[in-house]
Amino acid sequence: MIGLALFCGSAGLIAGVVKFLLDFYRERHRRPAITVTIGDESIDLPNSFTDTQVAQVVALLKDIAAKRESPI
Amino acid sequence: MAGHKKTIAERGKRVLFWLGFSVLFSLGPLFVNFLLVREKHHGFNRSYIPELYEQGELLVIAGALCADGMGRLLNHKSGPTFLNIFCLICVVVLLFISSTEYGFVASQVRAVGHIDSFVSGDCLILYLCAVAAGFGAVCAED
Repeated sequence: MIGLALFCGSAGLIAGVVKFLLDFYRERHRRPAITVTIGDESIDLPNSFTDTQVAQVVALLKDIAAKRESPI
Repeated sequence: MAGHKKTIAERGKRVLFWLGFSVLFSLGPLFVNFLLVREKHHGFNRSYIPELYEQGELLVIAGALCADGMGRLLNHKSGPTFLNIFCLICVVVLLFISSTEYGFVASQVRAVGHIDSFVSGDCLILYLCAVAAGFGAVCAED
């Protein structure tokens, strides 16, 4: 019983610390949020967006800006 | 980068609060007992330490710490991960062991009035294991 308790205590501690370190690593290497600016206005895109999604959003915004004749 | 620093700082603060309030202050009743034991023996040395928890109080505190850890791990904001579930299983097993051990200890206390030195050593080990697993649960909490 004490052996099982020792195992669970140390395993729980290690699992928690590993999870903490993994989260720390992910947070540290997270891509920064992308800011797209149209004229005076700017919009922040979530950093969870893939490169393709970012390109699509930028293309769409360029389209809208071209229609409004605003610089991007 | 500022966001990451804030998150780590928040987590560090949470761990410190847990160590201070859940672990340290939960030993408050034992501190009062320490004062009584010191008064009884007109002093205190290491051999009197088992007298502080001779009725299995540490097992109750260990159970409470495990229950707190369970609550923290079940209240996750993102989806459950393997490490969360593993930590949760460890905490649940420790809660089960400390509860069972307290059952045995309670019957010994009813018969003799206090636990023997062998069982008091087990109580201390179980308590330290619960603190370790609880610390892991606080670290793994989202």
